[in-house]
Amino acid sequence: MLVENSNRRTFPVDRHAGVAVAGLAADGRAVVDRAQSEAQQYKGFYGHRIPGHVLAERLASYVHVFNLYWYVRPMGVTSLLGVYDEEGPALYAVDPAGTVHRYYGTAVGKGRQAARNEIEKLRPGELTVREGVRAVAQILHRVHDEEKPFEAELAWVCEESGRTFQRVPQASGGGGGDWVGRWASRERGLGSGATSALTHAIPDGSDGPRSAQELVDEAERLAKEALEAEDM
Amino acid sequence: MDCSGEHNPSSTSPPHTGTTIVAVTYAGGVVIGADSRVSTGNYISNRASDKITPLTDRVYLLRSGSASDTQAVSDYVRYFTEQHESQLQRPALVKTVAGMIRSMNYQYKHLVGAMIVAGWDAAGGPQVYGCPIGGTLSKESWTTDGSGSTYIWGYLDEEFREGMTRSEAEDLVATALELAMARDGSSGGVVRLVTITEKGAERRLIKPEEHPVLWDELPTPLGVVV
Repeated sequence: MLVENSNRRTFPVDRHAGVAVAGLAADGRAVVDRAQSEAQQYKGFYGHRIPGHVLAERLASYVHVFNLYWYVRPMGVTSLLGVYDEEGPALYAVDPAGTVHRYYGTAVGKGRQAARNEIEKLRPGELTVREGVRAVAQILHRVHDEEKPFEAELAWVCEESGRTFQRVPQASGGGGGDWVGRWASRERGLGSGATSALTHAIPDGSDGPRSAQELVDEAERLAKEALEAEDM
Repeated sequence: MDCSGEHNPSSTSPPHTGTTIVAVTYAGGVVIGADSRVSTGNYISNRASDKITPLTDRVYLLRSGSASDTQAVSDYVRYFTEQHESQLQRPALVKTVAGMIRSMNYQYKHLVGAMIVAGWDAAGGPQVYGCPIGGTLSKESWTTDGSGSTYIWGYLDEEFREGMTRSEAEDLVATALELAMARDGSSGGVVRLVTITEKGAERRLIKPEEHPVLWDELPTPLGVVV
């Protein structure tokens, strides 16, 4: 009886940024509202769009506050933040503790372990955005909870979208929600956004493409550290 | 006999940076300049003040109008900008800083601060922004403000060219200031110049004895005993 696509998990924060949340949807709404408010205030005061690392740290500080006082409970969401700013595309994850990390690719939610394993097999330096979207969609389909109705929601911010955060239009059936895929898919979309910015023709003034091998080595090291940190 | 009706101007007038300020872009940066006179009524309370205030390493403010208002505004904006750069982890854009000055002028309409923000950043290169009283913001290739500016708009209109060399731009600003100081009673003292480029900011001082003699200022005749 649920209307399709009514259970949104991805939200625009400003033209150049968006957030996807996994966890308690209501807490997710609060985080998104805060992100939108931060972005709008920053632009009003400083005259330019909020840079990715600033927004990520602001969100992390906000979430952290809910761990300090006894009269509130911690936020029950991990937020994935995708931004395309002056320094290019970036992906951040903010967890309920208020920790923030930057990623080439990650997944959160119920099936995150399986999704992260799949993501580690990808080579972010060699994927275009479209290939990334396809990869993420495949991962979503592979790891989602079979017993729940499945709905995949993908969003990206890349050169092709004009550096604007938007939902990737796609045909997917079913109603209801499945967390995992969305987060994972969003991540891959952005991770690929980074590489497609590097591998496609880019205007003067950029640093030029890094070697795919450097990107992959670093991505593998970071992904492993993330897994070890979880194990600790 | 005092016909002006003002019996004790010094105690009633706040310090007034009568002033001439000029900012000009050139091929590699900006040259900004100011006079150095601060008057309290008819008394020159400071004949060598510095009206050129750094806000960041490569963004400077030229102040005219109320000395206290412009100092307060510049202190606030320097503070905000410092925090901004700390969070941003790179130098602030000239237009961001100019926007903050403008914002203070707009929100606090009682302020009398006619200011110019000029500098260099990696995104936009050399830039000059006028931030006059009231709270408008205008990006220009060059501009001038303060009471002395009225005498040099025509001169600058005629003599300014895009893409000058550094020394051409410095000469233009210095001469414009000297012309204004010759005619405006509220401007005078020394000429202070700052040139801002990718490499940073450099100051110069031009003392009165180094100003070129203008056509109507005759040097003291030799042999006259004063």
